[in-house]
Amino acid sequence: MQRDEGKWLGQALQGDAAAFASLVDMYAKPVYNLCYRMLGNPQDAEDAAQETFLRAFRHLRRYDPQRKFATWLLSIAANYCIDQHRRARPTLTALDEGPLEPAEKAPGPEGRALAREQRDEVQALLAGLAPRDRAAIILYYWYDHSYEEIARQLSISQGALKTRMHRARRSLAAAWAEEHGEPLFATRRSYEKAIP
Amino acid sequence: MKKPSPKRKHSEAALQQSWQSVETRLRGAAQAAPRRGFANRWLANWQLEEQRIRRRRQRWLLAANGLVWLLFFAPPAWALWNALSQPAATFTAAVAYLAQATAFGWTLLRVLTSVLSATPLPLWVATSASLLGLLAVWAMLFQQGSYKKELG
Repeated sequence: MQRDEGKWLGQALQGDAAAFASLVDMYAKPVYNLCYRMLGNPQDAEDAAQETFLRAFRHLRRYDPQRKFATWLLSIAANYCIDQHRRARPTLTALDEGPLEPAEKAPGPEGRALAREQRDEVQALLAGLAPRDRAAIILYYWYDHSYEEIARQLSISQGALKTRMHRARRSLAAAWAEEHGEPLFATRRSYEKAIP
Repeated sequence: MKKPSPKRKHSEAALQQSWQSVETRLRGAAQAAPRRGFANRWLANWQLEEQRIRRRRQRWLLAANGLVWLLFFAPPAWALWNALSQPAATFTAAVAYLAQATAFGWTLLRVLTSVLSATPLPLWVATSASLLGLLAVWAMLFQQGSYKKELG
């Protein structure tokens, strides 16, 4: 797979769109997922993912082969989605539809319903975050990127990223508690102890 | 050290519990996948994009070309206009001449447009740069000549 990626990248650098389409096929799912989690609606996610790949192909010469190709693509997608948020505010989060694959081959309609419910819950939680914080959380929890990678992807310092992550976690926990009727009287300091 | 109040203890526990629930949800959430045929749709989009890029490039070439030719022809045209418009009697002749010149310019522009849209960018840049260079040299020579005349 890695060798194919290198081969396709080489061909794409020569301007071969068909070779790049193979890379598109390979990375469509992670890029789309990031866009969907960022924008909260399938149509916008499709458009953003398509635009991400168009930009990547147009600026392929800027890609640094020392970095992972997926990381580079995800940084383009994250920044594009952040820009979209900036342009069209406020964004409504559609929770009614979404071409999702079942979480872990969910058995039958009950499993699917559960997965859907969880997805809606997660999407609603994410919708409350600022776009950059949301991108940081998604890249950290879905893609297991390190703080260093995320900071580079979002063009912020690691210190700023840590602050954003902390703020995002606090906001998510508070939103969850509110949603589930758990009373919170936390001060900032006590929360810092509670959340890593 | 101050002992934490029961209210604060409760809130810490609640937050920790909330965060654990959120983290479990985040880590266990499904990956959204696009509709089938994503790569094919991308390929179609790329073809459209390529056409758009080509059209945009042609428009820029045309505009730049127009500017270069304007710069090239403006000084002699201005000189000619001055020479023709001096005596009042030649005014009608000047208008007729301008009409003819416009028609000629229009034909020339159309021919150049078709030639330039088929010319590769590096060649066009080289030609335009040399024309501008020539123009600059001509302007300098012209200026030097008029200066010598003034001295003489």
